[in-house]
Amino acid sequence: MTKSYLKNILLVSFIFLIFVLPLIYWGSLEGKWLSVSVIEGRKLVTFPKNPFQNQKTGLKRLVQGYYQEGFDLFFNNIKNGDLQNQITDAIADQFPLRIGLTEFAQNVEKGLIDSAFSIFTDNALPASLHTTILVTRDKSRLFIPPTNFNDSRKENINYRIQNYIELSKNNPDINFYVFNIETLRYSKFNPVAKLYINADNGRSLAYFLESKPDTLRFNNLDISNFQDHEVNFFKTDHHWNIHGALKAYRMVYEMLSENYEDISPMLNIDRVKTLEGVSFLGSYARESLFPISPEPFEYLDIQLPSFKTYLDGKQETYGARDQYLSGNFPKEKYYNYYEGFYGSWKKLIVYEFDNTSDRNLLLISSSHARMNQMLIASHYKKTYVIDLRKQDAKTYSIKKLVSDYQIDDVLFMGQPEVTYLSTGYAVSP
Amino acid sequence: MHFTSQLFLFIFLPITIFLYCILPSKSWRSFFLLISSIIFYAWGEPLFVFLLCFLVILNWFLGIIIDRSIQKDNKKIAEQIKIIAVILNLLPLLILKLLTNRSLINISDYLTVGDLSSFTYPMGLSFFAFTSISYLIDVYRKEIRAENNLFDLSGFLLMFPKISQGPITKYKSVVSGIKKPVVNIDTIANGLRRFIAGLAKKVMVADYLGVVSSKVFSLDPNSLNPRIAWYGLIAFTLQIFLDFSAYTDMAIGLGCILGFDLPENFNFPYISKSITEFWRRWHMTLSNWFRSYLFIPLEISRRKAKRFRLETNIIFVFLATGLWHGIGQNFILWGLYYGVIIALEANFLGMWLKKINPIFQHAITLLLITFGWVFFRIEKIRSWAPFFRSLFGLNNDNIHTLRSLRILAYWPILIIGAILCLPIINIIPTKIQNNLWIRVLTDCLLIILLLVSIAIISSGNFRAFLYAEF
Repeated sequence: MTKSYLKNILLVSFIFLIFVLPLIYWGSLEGKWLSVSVIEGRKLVTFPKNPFQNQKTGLKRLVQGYYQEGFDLFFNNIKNGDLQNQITDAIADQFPLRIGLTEFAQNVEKGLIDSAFSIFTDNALPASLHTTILVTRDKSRLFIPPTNFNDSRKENINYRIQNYIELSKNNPDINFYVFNIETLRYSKFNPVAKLYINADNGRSLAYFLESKPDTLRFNNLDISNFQDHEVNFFKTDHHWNIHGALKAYRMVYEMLSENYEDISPMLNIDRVKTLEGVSFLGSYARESLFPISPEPFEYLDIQLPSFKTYLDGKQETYGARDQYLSGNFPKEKYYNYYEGFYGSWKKLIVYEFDNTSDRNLLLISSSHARMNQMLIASHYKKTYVIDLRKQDAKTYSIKKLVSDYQIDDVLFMGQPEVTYLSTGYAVSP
Repeated sequence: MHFTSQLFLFIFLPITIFLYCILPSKSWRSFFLLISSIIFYAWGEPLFVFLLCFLVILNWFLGIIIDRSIQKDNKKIAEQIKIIAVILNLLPLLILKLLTNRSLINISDYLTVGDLSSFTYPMGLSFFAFTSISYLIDVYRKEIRAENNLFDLSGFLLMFPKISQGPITKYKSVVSGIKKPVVNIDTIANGLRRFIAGLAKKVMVADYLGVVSSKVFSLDPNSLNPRIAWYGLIAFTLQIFLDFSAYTDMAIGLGCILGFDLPENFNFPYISKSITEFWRRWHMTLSNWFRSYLFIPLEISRRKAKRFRLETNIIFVFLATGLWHGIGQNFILWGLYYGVIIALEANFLGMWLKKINPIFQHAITLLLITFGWVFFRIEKIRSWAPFFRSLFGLNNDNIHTLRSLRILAYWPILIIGAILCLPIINIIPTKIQNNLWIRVLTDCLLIILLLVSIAIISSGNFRAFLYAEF
């Protein structure tokens, strides 16, 4: 009886302690809430300072006889759930050891995944239950599964082809170039492509190439086997690495040279170095929290001709390359070094090089271009970089851009969404 | 507020238990339980809490009038008030179910009440209404006396452990707990054990099964191959039981912590050998409610009917059961499906079932139950036939695989879920169950399950930033 009683006291005390620990933790913070989550790249919700202030004031007004005002004050932020949602979100975001607990939970789920796939011979397993990300069987590389090729994709491609036709027709003096980065999700060399009935397997690109206008100059950083992907892309991030970006620079240079006779010589891009002290865990690792070993973060050691950069109209330095090279960079696990080193999204970036060129380039791209856009820009007087991921392509007109900025060449460079798949990249002629 | 939310687990629960346990008198505890229940409900339903409070006062008042009329032998008035009371409790239920059922009728086309698209059915109203009706009819039947203490009755009707999903509780079964709640270290420990078992069942099994079933049932049923259709259907069959029974475990555990004995709601329903038995084991408090307050009165009032009385009564009761779950056509037909099967079992089907091998009895019953969940889960009736065609491999347009849907990894959870549906605990001899070391080990296991459940709950709002292919 005594043993049982003691056992119950111990159990109740221990469980109660587990339940009250967060309260003790929040009390100990004294209102100094965590405001940012590096790993998620977002602001955290914090507890409101005086959560029930409106209710207190509302009650006072009711007592004073101001019924309408009192009722409104009392109910407005609780009847639509705003206050409740804020408190609920704050509890979740400010929960003690939240990321540690998340990693622990994902490890439990990884145990489930491992046991589930132990009876199959798949080349890759899900890296987590909450994302599409996969990990190779040897757990050395994260990637995403193939995407489907279907009628809706064909419609999008047809739309883009029509757009390219109209762009050329309406701007006959402009050279249009497309440089595609073939990514694993559209490649037949995706390790799990055979397991997906409608996998793209390179069909969308083939479909585009079949019908694209002949006048459109096109080149492609292709994947001809899985090793190509391993060489040109990060193992934990969706971006290409410096090797892929430099290979692309060479190919783009050759493509642009066709109509640009006096283009300056290609830059010397042989000196690739590793950024010391950076343990890079990219977007796939961040999202899946898969316990994969970090990879080196390599960069091109080059001295570019002098240039100025204008970010959304202001002259500024783009990216934090110089700080990183002097060893001044964040050390948090999962920090987004790609964005930190090369720069974040901007509506318009203008490179103005101090050279003798009289040509200007419009580069329509995505985050991939951050790695090599300044190399391409070095061959032009001015290069205007537009990233359409967070903007409506229809707000831009090539005709207007050409006349405003005296554009000579237009280059679409990026993954298939940028080059031929997404209607969001169809700029008005 | 949900039992698995961090708000409930780490703010509401510890504060409520702590204050409830240290309050000196029964009346203080009763009052505190009422306040905490109102806060619990108002957190998620800040407007409907007023409707519930109004109904509580109304039921308290009507209960007293019925009781006084009965005591004064004025049965006719008591009966009329009982009928009015039942209607008054069912009316908000019906109106709100209609208003929130957009597949049936677009009510906002007919009413000038503005946009109702964000309007949702208030949590637990069906359970509240049935509990209230049960109380009033029991008063009318002289099974209990009307409760004069408004706090006690309010505490019972709004009690937070059972307000959102039951169990539908008869007042007489908890009145002693309300009047004299027994709270000591043993009841708290046992309540916590049951609560944690339910929490783990919900978070570690049912919710994962829910991922599988949601994915499968969100697809066009024409596009499924038999493997995916069965996988999804089995996942849903397990999920609906484990989710609901987990909730009941948590409610009973909380009741125990607060000193109340809430009734059991499930008794391993999937081991039934007939559909009739299934409904004796599934959502027992609802079945009991319908038996006590609808089926038996129907049998009595129609006792003179000679042909198909039992069968039509059964079908009527199950139609009402379907309606209780929702006013959509699928729920009505789901109720009808069970009504017809049980009516048939009351005749030749039952006799035939008893004659065949018990293994086949289990298999046929389980198959019928599983098919029944198709009607329950798929709202659009026109999607039923394609789904059944998928189950039997008669669809050709198969574009998905278990891998492309990312549900293959969940098969061990399906196995665990299936094991949890079996009464394995009953196989373990009582002597072993009572062994001190076994119990210590069980408690350690429960603490581990609690920690894992907390980790899974905490990971729920992790949103890593990713631009897919960008």
